[in-house]
Amino acid sequence: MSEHDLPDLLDRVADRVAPGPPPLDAMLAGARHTRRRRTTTVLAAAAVMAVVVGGSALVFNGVGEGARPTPGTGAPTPASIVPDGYRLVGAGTAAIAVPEEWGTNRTQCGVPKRNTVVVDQISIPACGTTRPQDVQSVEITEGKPRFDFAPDETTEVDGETAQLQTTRCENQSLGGDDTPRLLCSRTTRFPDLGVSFRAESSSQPEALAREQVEEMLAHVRVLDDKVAVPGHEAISTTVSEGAGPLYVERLREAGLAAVVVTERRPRIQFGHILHINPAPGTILDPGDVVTVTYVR
Amino acid sequence: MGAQEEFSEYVGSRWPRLVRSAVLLGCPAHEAEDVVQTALTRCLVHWSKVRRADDRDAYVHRVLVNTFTSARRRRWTGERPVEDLPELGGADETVAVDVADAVQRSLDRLSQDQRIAVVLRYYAHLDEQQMATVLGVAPGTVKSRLSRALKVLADDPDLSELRGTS
Repeated sequence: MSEHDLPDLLDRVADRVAPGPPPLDAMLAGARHTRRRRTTTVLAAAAVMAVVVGGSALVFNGVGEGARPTPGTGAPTPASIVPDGYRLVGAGTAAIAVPEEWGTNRTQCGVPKRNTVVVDQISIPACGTTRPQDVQSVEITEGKPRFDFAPDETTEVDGETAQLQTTRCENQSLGGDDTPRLLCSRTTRFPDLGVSFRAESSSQPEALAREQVEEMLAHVRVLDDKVAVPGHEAISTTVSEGAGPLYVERLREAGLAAVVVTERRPRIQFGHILHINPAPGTILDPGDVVTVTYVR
Repeated sequence: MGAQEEFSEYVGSRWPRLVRSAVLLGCPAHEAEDVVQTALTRCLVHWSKVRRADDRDAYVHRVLVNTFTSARRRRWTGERPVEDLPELGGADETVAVDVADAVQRSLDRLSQDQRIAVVLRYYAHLDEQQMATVLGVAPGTVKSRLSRALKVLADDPDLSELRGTS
């Protein structure tokens, strides 16, 4: 058998298969059903409304059409996307449902101390601290994958290509403690979206930790008609001043509207971001408003 | 032309070949149509992405391969007990069956990655760059998978002893 024989051999095998007619109606109906399960919000025109308000008072009246003031918890999301008792957190259009009782960024020096989702945490002060046993976490990152990311499989989530690094369990010195402890991790990355979800568990025994990281990542979704509030750390850690206006631009690119509040802080440089509401990672409808407070 | 008409036209022209590709990938014949139906439905949901894709066939094959590998992970692959064995009557197709069996057995000896590479290259006739896009790997990885797969097939006694092939 040579390489030249192969196309003919494969054709001969394939020709023995006699497919029926394509079930076009079933495919069209299936696609309609899938679309109905998604929210019907149409992508609103991405308009940034830079409403500069001196002090902390917010005025939503008259900020323009098409923008909806957003409650601090984000817009409601269909139950089909979020199971009962869970909330969505994400980056871009990729999101993960995490238990409602989990906190956000419950970390010390980057080390999760309680069950938490970790979002937009780039600048981490160095200190010696340990990850307690029985702590679960999901870290959401954008851009390049972690240095040790090595995909084992390629699959698909909601029509988007996803790379999976299957579960790894390693003994690690989890911080300043010299006692090695087992930490299991599993990662799903969307290469085209540049978003990674890394689940970790320090539960015992190992079988439980493995089960937990798999369960966490089973809740990853790609949402066609939702978008996460972008993080600001990537901007704040790279520019010495003017981060606020740059972040507003990032909101616009994400399809969200912005209300800007500025505050006087004599000793802090212009543009330093003081507060973002709703917080980065919150899932919103395109066109929703995010309030950014920065130093003027 | 609307998305639905475009999709229908695409399916009309590609359906048989996609189903046969699924069989060659290792999908049982009775499940191949389901896998292709699922893959094409996913493509229809994201038809705007298919339209924007530089290479439509490569995009659809990527969805097909992902759908197949996901289905394979979920599927129980053990034997299914049946009360009556299926009849295999009909015309004498010994030679054809020999070839089909030998090729299928040879494909079964390949790793999943190698088998996908062989089907995409030698049945779907994608070039190495298209395959790299479909598989999300570097062109060099495509080459090495094909090279290893060809070596396995070349050394396979079942294929070398086929009647009517050299």
